[in-house]
Amino acid sequence: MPFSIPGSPTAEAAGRRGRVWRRLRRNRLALSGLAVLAAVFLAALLAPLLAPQDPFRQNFGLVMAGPSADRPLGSDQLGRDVLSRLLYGARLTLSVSFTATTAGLLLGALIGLLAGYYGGRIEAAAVWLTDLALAFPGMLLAIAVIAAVGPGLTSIIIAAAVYTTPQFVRLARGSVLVEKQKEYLAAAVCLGESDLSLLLRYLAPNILSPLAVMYTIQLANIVLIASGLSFLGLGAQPPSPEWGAMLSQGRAYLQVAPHISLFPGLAIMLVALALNLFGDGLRDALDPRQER
Amino acid sequence: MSSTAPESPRPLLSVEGLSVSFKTDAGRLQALDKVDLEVGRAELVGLVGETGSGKSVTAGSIMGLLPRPQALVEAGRIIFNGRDLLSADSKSLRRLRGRRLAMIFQDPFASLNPVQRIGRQLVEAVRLHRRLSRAEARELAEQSLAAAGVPEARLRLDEYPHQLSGGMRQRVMIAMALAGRPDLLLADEPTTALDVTVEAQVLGLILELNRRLDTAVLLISHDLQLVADVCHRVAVMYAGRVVEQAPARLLLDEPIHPYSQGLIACAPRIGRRREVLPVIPGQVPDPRRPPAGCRFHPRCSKAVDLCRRERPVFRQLAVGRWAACHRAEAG
Amino acid sequence: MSAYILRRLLMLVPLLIGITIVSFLILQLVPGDPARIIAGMDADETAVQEVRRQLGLDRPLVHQYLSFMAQVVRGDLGRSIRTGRPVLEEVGRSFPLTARLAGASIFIAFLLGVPAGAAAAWRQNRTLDYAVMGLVLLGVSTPTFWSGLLLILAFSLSLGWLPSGGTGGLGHLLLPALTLAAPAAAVTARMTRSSMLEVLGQDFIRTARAKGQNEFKVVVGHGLRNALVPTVTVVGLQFGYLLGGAVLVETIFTWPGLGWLIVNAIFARDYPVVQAGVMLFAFCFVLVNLLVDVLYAFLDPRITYG
Repeated sequence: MPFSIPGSPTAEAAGRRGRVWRRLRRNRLALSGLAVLAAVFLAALLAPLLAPQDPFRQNFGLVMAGPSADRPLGSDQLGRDVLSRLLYGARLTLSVSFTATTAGLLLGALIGLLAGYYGGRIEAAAVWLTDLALAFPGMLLAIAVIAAVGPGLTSIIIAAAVYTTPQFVRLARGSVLVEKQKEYLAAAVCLGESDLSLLLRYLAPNILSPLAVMYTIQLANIVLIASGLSFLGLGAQPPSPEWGAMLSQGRAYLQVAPHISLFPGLAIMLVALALNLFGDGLRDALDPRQER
Repeated sequence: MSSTAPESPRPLLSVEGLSVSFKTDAGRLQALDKVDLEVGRAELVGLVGETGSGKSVTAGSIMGLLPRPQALVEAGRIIFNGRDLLSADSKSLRRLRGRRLAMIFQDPFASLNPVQRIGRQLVEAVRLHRRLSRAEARELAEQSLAAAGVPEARLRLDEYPHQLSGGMRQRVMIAMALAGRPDLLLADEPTTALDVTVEAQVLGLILELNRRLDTAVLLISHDLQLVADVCHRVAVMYAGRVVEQAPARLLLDEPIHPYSQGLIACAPRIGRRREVLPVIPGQVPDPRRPPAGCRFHPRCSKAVDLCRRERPVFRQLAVGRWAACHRAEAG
Repeated sequence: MSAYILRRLLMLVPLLIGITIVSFLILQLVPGDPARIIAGMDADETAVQEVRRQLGLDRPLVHQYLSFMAQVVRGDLGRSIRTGRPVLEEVGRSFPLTARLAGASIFIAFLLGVPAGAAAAWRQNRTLDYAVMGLVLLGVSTPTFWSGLLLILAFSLSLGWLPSGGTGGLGHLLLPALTLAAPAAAVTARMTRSSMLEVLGQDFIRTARAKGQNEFKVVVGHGLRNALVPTVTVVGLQFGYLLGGAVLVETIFTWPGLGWLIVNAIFARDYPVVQAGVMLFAFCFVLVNLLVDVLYAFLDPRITYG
């Protein structure tokens, strides 16, 4: 019957979480990052309601028109409303990034946990694979995956997940190795806890903090990588309103209609910025050295 | 063996009413509260106190090495060679450092640059204060090392700090500190991080240098016995104040301030009758919330109402004997 | 020291082999029949069979890998499907351009990042520190394919000072190098700052001041010199980012380097080129990391004389 002994690692972790949340609340920069993220999330969710126009409808009368009262962000080279496309594009950006990062987290943490806990050949294999993956520069690894599976939206999710999994494996394994030294694990083993119980009840909660910080930072990286891949034409195909793809299409008209590329890029930057701000704040809040 | 050094007409160093506080996240911390201290030429003075008593802050203030934004010198003067260091500009202070005022620290390992060879660090110290070519400076560095008791000094010059033992490193620190032939050496717990045997050697070295080079020394330590054995005079600090000052022998034999009395009574000594070791009850006060009146009164067996209300003034009670206590009776 | 280098080189071998395996597998993982893809979508069956036999695609996987390795070691990286020229030649032509770009970017990143980080640490929690950290945040959050376009818009199209694409002299190199360098400079600044903060809090800094040394020499001569040691490793990692990020920058500025070659090869399904390019990039990255490790050991005597 699972129960929390006061002073046990699970109880301690819960108490810490309260303090962490309070510390986070005081960091205004991190909160503004979170607010921006929430706004983008809402915008994506409510895109059908918020978008003034159909993002795919072409209007040849308004081709490359600059910002106006009607269309605050202007129109692109086919006369489509940039703002509407941005709103729908947010859905793509968020879903791709969250899916890929979450997949990377779950897979990577699982492998890292098992590798660190069991050691031996499992660990050696995991370490070799991780080092191998990390021997490829990030963007390049993603491109190699796309080369193998072909362009497309699902492909960039896979590519991004492949990119981020090794980072989580490394982090999870490292954290497990650190926790393994601590006495509470030895005590639990003496009490006859099963492997699964140890992994789930003791190890997993205690490596959550670094994993959470890594998750936010990786999200920011993946937003950039995914839109970069789409920019190269390896991701979402036209007429998809993916932000990177929009930027790429606007390139040809940079001189006459810079807004076509400018606004999608700005959107990507804002999301990455917000994620980094929040990630930094989360890391500071979780930093054990700040415990008073 | 301690002796009483002749009192010079004007002391080399005179700290008067020094008050220093620190700004921390938890509020304003009073580190020093009207500290009075004197060191005469070629004199060996000991500064004794527990952790947190303010002894390192005193040394830091003299050298001008306090962490700048947080530390605030609220009042007082530090007269060195007739000049008030607190009103000097940073440039003149810097020129004094190493040349007239030198300092060695507690942890010799952390106090030496780990990625530079010993020779280079010594030569830097030498050339900061003398016009010598690099070769000449290196020669002098070698001699200083040898004078500090480092065997095979020439070989040591090319080594890195982590290749030397603790005692050796401290000798290097001493050699570096004395490179400019300073008038005053501040030694902040120089032997605390060393083994007992090495400790004796290093102290012996300091003593010898004091006698041979006429360098005044302010020896800071938490070990009263150690300091009293070596120094001419001893000052005792508690909670940011100097509570007693006396020639070493007299302090050991007839301490005036109840805190000094407690310290001496608590010191374990070989040859004493086997008995329960006395302790001073209570704890050092939280520097953020010092007690009213005399800082020591909560732990003092002789405390009376006056002690709780009014802070005692640090005053002279006899020749060479100063104390800050309402209940003091000169011996 | 040489023993250390030798040891590290030996540890690299399994990694290098792994890289060749991954590169080899790229072709194998392609959906569809690689032989058909190479022969062309409308080639008839015999032609496809011929290609399959020629490229040895009908032999067991391990066989294929071994002959692949044999070819690689010989320097034969196959022929480009698109141009028919030897892959080695194509790669050999474009790689130096990427190297030039990456080299210039690392140089700029270092030149900008280290002093910025050091200055931020020196003036911790004051305006300069906040300004630097703000720029760092922008640097890591801004997509290079956007900042590149902005630079082109500003300096090429509006002001006309610099060309917007192609190779050439310094003028052609400047904008791409700056674009690529920005995130690297940001990470370098951040790393230098935290490293400096740690170093400046250590005792030997106090000793240097106590000797009477002037503040600049204390901060730079003692402080920075020690702080650079861990910063150097970050530079190595940054190089990896640069190699990857070069792809985007080369595309924007039509800088015909290896990254640009690989992307075009993917669209053209020119797999031999993709394989060779990916392999070369990874090899470079691994070697650079080794160099960085050696440099680290060189800078920190505690490792070599320990």
